[in-house]
Formats: sequence, structure tokens, C-alpha cells
Amino acid sequence: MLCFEEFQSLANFLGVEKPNVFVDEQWKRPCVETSAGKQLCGLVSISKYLTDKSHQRSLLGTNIEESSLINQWLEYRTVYINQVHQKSDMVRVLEDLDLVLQKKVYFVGNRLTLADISIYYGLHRIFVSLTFQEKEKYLHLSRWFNQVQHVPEVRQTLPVVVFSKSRLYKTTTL
Amino acid sequence: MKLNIILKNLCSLKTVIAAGITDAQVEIVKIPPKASCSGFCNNVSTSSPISRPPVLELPSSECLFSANAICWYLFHQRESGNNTTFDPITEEWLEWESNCLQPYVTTFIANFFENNKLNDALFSTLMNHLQYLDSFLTSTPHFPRSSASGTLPGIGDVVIWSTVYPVITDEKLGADTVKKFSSLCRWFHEIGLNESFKEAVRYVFGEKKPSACKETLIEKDPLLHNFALSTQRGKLVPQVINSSDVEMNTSQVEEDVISQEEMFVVFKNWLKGKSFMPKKSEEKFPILPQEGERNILVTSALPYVNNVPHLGNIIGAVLSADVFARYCRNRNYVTLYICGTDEYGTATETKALEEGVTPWEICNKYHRLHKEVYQWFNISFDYFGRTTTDWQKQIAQDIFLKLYAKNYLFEDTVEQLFCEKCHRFLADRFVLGVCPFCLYDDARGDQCDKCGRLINAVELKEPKCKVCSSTPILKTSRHLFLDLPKLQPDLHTWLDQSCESGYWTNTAKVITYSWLKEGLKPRCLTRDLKWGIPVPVKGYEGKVFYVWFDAPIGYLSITASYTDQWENWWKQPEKVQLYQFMAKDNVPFHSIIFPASIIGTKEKFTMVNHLIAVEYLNYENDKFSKSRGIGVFGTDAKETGIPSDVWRFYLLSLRPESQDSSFSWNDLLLKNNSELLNNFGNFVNRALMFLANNFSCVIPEMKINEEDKMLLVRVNRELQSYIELMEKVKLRDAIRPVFSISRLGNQHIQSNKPWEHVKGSNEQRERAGTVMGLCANIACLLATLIEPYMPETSTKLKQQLNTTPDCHVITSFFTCCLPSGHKIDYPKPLFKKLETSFIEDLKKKFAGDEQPKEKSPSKKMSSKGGKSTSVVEPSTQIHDTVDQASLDHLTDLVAKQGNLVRDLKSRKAEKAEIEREVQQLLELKRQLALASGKDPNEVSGQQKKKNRKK
Repeated sequence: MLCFEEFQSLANFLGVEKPNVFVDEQWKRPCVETSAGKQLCGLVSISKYLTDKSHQRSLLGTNIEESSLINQWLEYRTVYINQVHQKSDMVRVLEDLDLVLQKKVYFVGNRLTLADISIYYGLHRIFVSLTFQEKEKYLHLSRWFNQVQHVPEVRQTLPVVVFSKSRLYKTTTL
Repeated sequence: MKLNIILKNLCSLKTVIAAGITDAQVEIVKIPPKASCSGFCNNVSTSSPISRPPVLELPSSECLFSANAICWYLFHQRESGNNTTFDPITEEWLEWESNCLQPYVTTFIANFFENNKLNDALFSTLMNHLQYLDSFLTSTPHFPRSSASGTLPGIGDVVIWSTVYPVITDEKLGADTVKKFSSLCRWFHEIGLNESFKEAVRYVFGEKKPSACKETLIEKDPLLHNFALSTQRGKLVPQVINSSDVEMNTSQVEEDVISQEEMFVVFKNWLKGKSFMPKKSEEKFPILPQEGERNILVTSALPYVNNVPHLGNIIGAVLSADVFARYCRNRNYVTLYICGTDEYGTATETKALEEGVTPWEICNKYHRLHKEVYQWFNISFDYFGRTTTDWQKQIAQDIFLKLYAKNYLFEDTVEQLFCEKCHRFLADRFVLGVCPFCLYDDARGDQCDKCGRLINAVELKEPKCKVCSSTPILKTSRHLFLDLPKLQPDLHTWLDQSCESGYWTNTAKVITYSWLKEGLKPRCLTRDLKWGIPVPVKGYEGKVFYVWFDAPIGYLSITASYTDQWENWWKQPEKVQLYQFMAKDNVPFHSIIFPASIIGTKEKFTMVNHLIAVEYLNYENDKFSKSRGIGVFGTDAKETGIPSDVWRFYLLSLRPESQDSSFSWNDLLLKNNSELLNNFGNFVNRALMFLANNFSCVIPEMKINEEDKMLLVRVNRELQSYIELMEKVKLRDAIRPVFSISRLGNQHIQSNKPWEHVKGSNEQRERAGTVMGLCANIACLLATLIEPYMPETSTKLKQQLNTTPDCHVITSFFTCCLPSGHKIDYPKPLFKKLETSFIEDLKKKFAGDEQPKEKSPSKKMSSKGGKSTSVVEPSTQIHDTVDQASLDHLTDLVAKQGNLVRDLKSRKAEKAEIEREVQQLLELKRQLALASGKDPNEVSGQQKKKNRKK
């Protein structure tokens, strides 16, 4: 998903004004102008800024621990997920995330946070190219993905990724 | 709370400093380097970022594995509640540090210790990072601090300080150069005076120097390592991953273990030289299968004659087949590539009617158009023919009669509407009437426009012929049907064997087997038409073959037009391998109907071994549409001024092998400029220009060293990959090894710096010569490998390299074809840069207007558009109703009147009289025009035409 598309979707979801996005050529990152008239760059920073401005600040965490965890996952999104360009990288990322979600419903706390939304946007391009068998392999991650994509207002214009379990494939668990 | 760290690790340093500064109540635990922390599961590998220390175990038993997040937690836990104010500047710096700075520093240091020297490119980019920091720190003393910090360093200071620590303090890593960043150094020094910092450094690094961090870096995170080296870094939008996608910008992080044996073998092959290569086999006419050779017969789906081909049609069949055929020739296989225009059928007849000419004339005109288009694209047919030949008639009738004799055909009658006035059977779409369901009075014979229901023309109330409006009658017509159910078992057996042993694309297999699963139904092989091959059975006079029955037979008849020994190719399945290329909509005819017909003759025919079908190519995410002006058609490509090789390359890189793909002008621009120009073109030009400028165009003495041998190994690996992919007809994937080779070449040049060495001592000069001589040989290999994709470019390059055809046979090993002493020609650039503005203009030109010009639906790409798939089609030939006698009479009158007028004018008779006679002449001429159906102002169903010319 392109950055500006992502920000638009996020702004829609949050109910804030859509920002004007331009590109910082030197560091290849998106930039917006804040309401204070300053420049703010970086996917994570802008996402957090938009959320902070909105009435859903709880998406950034309700206590310090949650906020730190959300920060961590937002970082993971840009440093790892966005840098996946080959199959081998992809496998590692999906494996890790699947492991994390084995005992969790959402990434942080027990509810949807900015971490889930951001990772969903980041993973979407990968998920559209997975086969059903692969999606079944990453069972927990797929379960989470399916859950998030059905939260109203999160998915917006992105195509739905279809999940389907088949008795033909040997699954790793269950 | 426990903070698990590893010693001599930069990330751990960061967290220890944070713990110290914030005076946090944490217990610091040292973990041995290769162990992981159970944060989530004990099964996680050590190289996984989610379990690698530093890890902070939180009170709630959750874990933080991100060093920056740990710092953030430690800094904010002093505050109560959740009212942390959002500080944009700090957020931005932390994000920049984790995304841009840290991975770069890590890669830089890792690279340094792997190669034992500074990598210039990485180092200079790193300097950019430091410059950026320096600029910021010139105007502010330090990074933003919250009020809770007071005068102590804040989170920004801690995080950035730790990451730049080794680079600023260790001379090996460039600390001297860094001194020029005075603000940065000042800040670094000041912050470093802080006790917590000093303590943390002592704790984590002990007495060791900062460069000791290399130990914990080498267990590097491949993802991050990739990150800096990969050219994808520049993208804001990570591209969609497709498991079968060509990875154009792969960096080399795959297992790169090169064994001594491999190097030995590769080097030995290198030394063998040109004399060990097979001679390029001569092509003599006619090309026939040889004993003991690989005989490859390549066909591309015959384009339907009266459709102007668009890019989707071209990549679907003819271009794909061409690449493969050229590859086979370069391998010295005996190769024959056959194609032509498919000319029979309703569509041609209808079009002929519209344009007021005969079907034959239509075919001539469009056959020429197709031929020209393909010629421009350099499609190397051995023969490009057509289906309207005697051979076609003979072979098709022969097969038909054999099926008839062996009882694979049965007769049945079909009821159809026949217009007596027009004297032809009407296709569903030529009938108008009242819809039997909704009583809409302008329903068409196949579907009611108002209620949308599908109907049969015979069901229409008050049917009328669309052309002449008279009421058609119901006539029964006898037709012959191919008994596919009877042939199904034998067909199935053959299919299983062919799919198993050959390369059928997934699409082809899926479509074929789904037809089989549904159960084959009888197929009507005859039609009431005039334009087609006559049915050679008594009682079927006036009927012709269903066009999809005879179309695949076209391959055989076109081969027969090429050589009368065509049966050597088509009746020797044990000697010939048949590869058939097409788009997916043609698959059933090539995998079911035609093979079934052949099987029914009980004779030995060459049948398809490898069925290569592709999906659809779209245009800028829309469908190609001639009527709406969307997409690039026929001769448009030539008129853009972009060379045909570039089109070929781009279309092949988009070949829709496993799913639909989309043509995009922006993508063409990108691929031309980055892959063709900057990668391939740049490499070749550099190598040859260097030789021209420094060695007078002569390949110098080449003393191959270890590093060169490793390059040879890598090149050989790519070569193997290329061959393997081509043999499996994975044409799109096979592009990748070619560009990897040129990339390897570029890297080799970069790391050896021949432009410096050539100015140095004799030994250094020799080294430069070796490197560039080797690269010239690589260029020679590239010329061979790129030929199937870009023949013109390949020829140009071969000319520049001054090679003979023997250098360009594809073998499984890379050898030295240009030995020292070989003279090359003066090099010229192979590609031109495409400008964005140029491409933007073209994009607008082919975007089409939004209003459709006519009601015709937009077409997706298909090799055979416009063929009716309804069961029976009626005749659309109009009988000649020209009354030759009255025509003659009129012509006579016109001539006479013309003479009269000329006479009057020359006699200079009265103006009024001349005028009267002129009017009379004009009136006669108009009548004559009417009578012979040539008046453009009059369109009536009674167009009288001359008979079809033979």
C-alpha cells in the first residue's frame, strides 16, 4: 500500500483530516505538515501523530507498557516487514509473527491498537500473494489478519484476502 | 524487571545507558552470545529479532525486544498515567535511527570486517548520515529532552549516541574522517562525559575497543544486511511479492559458498576456449528433423486475420514462441517455427460485408498487416502462412473423412431461422423480434436487451431478419458432430501421458482437466456458411467446416506450404517435440478438440508435448479496446519511436505466466532506464570503452586470480540457471540470470578499480587488463544469452565485439571466446534513456477517450477474437443479385451520354443545353452506381456485389 493511501485510510478510520503527503527525497520517507506548521517525517511518526490528534488516542496505548509495546511493533513494521522483498525474508517474518500470535489475540493488550492496524497495512501486499496452503501454514497470523481486515473502517479500499482451510494440507498445529 | 543483554553489543549498550540515566529498577542479566531469550517461545531461533537480546521483561511478563522501545519504556516509566505528550521531533529521530541509521551502521561495520577493508559506497553513504546529524546539532546543543530529564541526556541523545559510538571512536572505522563533523563530535564528546554513559560502556565493552561490536554483528540479521545493500532501499512502496515474480534487484545474500572444486572445474572450462565450443549449425532450407538431434517444432496460435494485434496478443503467443525458438536455435537444436493467419469464419465474412469487399480481399489486407507488425517486432518465423490454401483443404478434408469412416462423426439436425430474401441462415445476432418473456419489441436473437434473459432466436415472437426486415422461416439443417464422448477415454490416456512428461503450464492443465471432468459433449463440426472449407461428404454441399476444427490443422497446412516434406515434422512423434504457445482461451481447442480429431484418425501424428498457455495482459489495469482507443495496437508501437527490442524486453518481463499482468508505461520507463541502460548497457559499454581507450581495442593478457575465479563461478551458476529456466519455458524468469550476470560484472569492475590501476605499475596495469578482458568475455556471453529477447541489440553488441557466430552457441559452461589479441570494434551505447515527459505523452495518447465510439464491448486479449462459439452459424454470403444485363445497359447509356456532353462542350453549344445534358449524365452515373452497389450514400441490404475473386 502506498504511504499516502495508507495515511488516507488511517485518517478515515480515525476521523481526522487527511494530511497532505510529500516525499523526503534524501531519506526516502513520507512527510506531512503538522498543525503547528512544522514538518514531520516517517511512516511511524506520522501514523502516531494522526492517532494522537484524533479521539482515539487509546490506540496508542493506555499505559506506558502498552505504549512501548505498540512502539516496538510499529518499528518492526517499518524495519522488517517493509524490507521484505524476497521469499526467504518473507518466510522469516511470517514465522516470527505467527509465533507471537500463538497466544495472543491482538499484538498488544486484548484489543485493536495502532500496532495491529499498521502491521495489517504492511502485511497486506504479502498476503495477497500467498497461496491458501501458505496461509494455512501461518495459522495464527492468518487468524489475526482475517480478524483485523473485518474490523469496519480498517480495510477500506484494500481487497479482501480470502482464507480457507482445506483438509488436504497438513497443518503444523491442531 | 530483568534486562537481558549481550556484551559488546551496540543495542545492548543503548539499553544499559538508558537504565543508568533513568535510574531504573532493573536487574541486568548477561546472556551468552548465541542464546536467545524466552520472550515468546523457546523455539525461536537466535537470529530472529523477536528473541535476540537486548530484551526487557516487563512486570506484566510481556517482553520488549526492540532496543528503542526498551529505552522509551525506561524513560517514560517515571511518568505516571497515560498522558505522555507526543513529541514529534523525538519520534522522527527515533524512527530515522531505527530505519535509516542503525541498519546502515550495522551493515557498514559487518562489511568492513568481512572484507577487511572499507567499502567506499557504504562509507560515503554513512557519511551522509553523519552529515545529517551534524547539521541538526549545529543549531541545537542536543536532542530534545523532556522536563522529567532535566539536564540529563534524553532518549534521543542516548539512542543516537550508542549507534554512532563505534564509528566516531574507532579509527579503523573512519573516525578520522568523522572529525570534520565538528558539531556532531562536540555533542558526542559532551554526552559521553556523563557518568552513566561511561559506566555503561565499561560494563558492556569492558576493555575492548568499540570495533569489538563486530562479533555480535556478524550474527547479523540478514534482513537488515540486505536492506542496505539492496537497491530496493530507495522505494517508499515495497512492491507486491509474487512467488513467481522476477526479482529484478536481488542482492547477493544467498548461500555464497564457493568450493575449491567448483573453482577448479570452472577455470578449466574457461581455459578451453572457443575451439571446444560446438560449431553453430548451418540452417539449410528446408529445415527437417534430423536423426540423433533434438528436433523442436514451435507453433504460435494463429492470429485471427481481421483483428489488429495488440500487445497482449503479441506477448501471448508469437513473441513468447519467438523467444523460445531463438533459444533453441542458439542451442543448435533443429528448430522450426511456424505460424500464420487464420482466415476462415463468420467474422471475416461479416467484416467483408461491412466494408463492401470480398472475404479474400479482407484476408489479403490484414494478412499483410499482421506480417508487417510481426516483422517489425523481429519475430523469426521460419514461415508465416495462412489457412486459405489448397493444402489446408486437402489435409482438413482428409482428417475429416477418416473420422467419418471410423464412425467418430454422427449426424444430427438443427433448426434454424433462414431468411429467404437474403437467402441465408441467420446467426442469432442477426434476428430481431419480440422477447417471449417481457414482450420487448426490439429483442435480439441471443439476448433480450430489456429484460436481459438469454434466449434462442427460434423462440422470438415475430422474428425479423436484421438486414432486410423480412420474416425468416424455420428450416432444419443437417450437421455432422464430432463424437467427443466416444473419444474421451483415449484422449484422457494421451493427456495424462503428455501432461506428465511435458511442460504444460498450470493454466493449460487446469482448463483441460476441468473440461474432462465436466464430461465432453459432442461438438458440431459443420456450418452453413460459404467462406470456409467445403464439407466433402455427400448431402453436405453448401456447408463448410466449423472454423475451430480446421484452424489447428492450419499448423500442418502452413508447414506443407513451407515444405512438401511436412510429414517429417507432423507424423513422426518419436523424433519431434512439439511446443505450442497460446493464450488460455485457446487451450481447449489445442488440448481437447484437435487432439481428439487426430486420435480418431487412428494414424500417427505428432501431438503436442508442451502446451504453453498464458493469462491475459491488461493495459494500465484496464482492458485493451480498439473501439475506445485504449491500449497500444499493431503499428502503434513502431510509431512511438521506442525500439522493438525494448518493447520485446518489457513485454517479456511482464509475461502473464501464472496470473494476469498489466502493461504500465511508468514501469516500461523504469525497466528501460534501470535494467537496460544502467545495468546491462552500462556494464557492456564500460568494459568495451575501457579497452578502446586504454588497450587500443585489443583484448589484453588475462591473468586470472582467485577473485576472478569466484566471479567465473557465479557467472556459471547464473548460466546454468538460465538454461534450466529456458528449458522449462519459464521465459520471464530466465531474464533474471542475464541481468544478474551484468550486475556481477559491474560489481567486479567497481571493486577492482581498473581506471586507477591502469595508470600504475606494470603489474597493476596487467591487473586492469585482466579484469576488463574478462568483462569483455562476459559481454560476449551476454550477447548470446540476450539474443532470444533482444535480437537487434544482440547483433549490435556482437558487431562491437567483432565475433563470429561460433562464439554464440549456448553451452553449459562459460569459456573464453575472446582471447588476448582479439580485436574489437569501437563501442557505441546500446540503449537510450527514456525521458519521463516522453512517456507521459505516450501514456495520454493511448489512454483512449471515455465515450465508446460504438457499442462493441472492450476486448480482453485473446489470440482469436471474434469467433462465434454458438453451436451453428448460418450462411452470411449474399447471393449475387446483380443483373449483369441491366448493368451493361446502364454503362452503355453513361458512355453515350458522356460522349454527348463532350461533343456539346467542344462545339461550344448553349450553356443551358450543356447543363441539361450534364445533369442527365450525372443521373445516369448515379443509377449505375446504385446498380453496382458502389454508392456510399445508399446503404441497403440489397448491396449487390461482384462474386468473390478466386
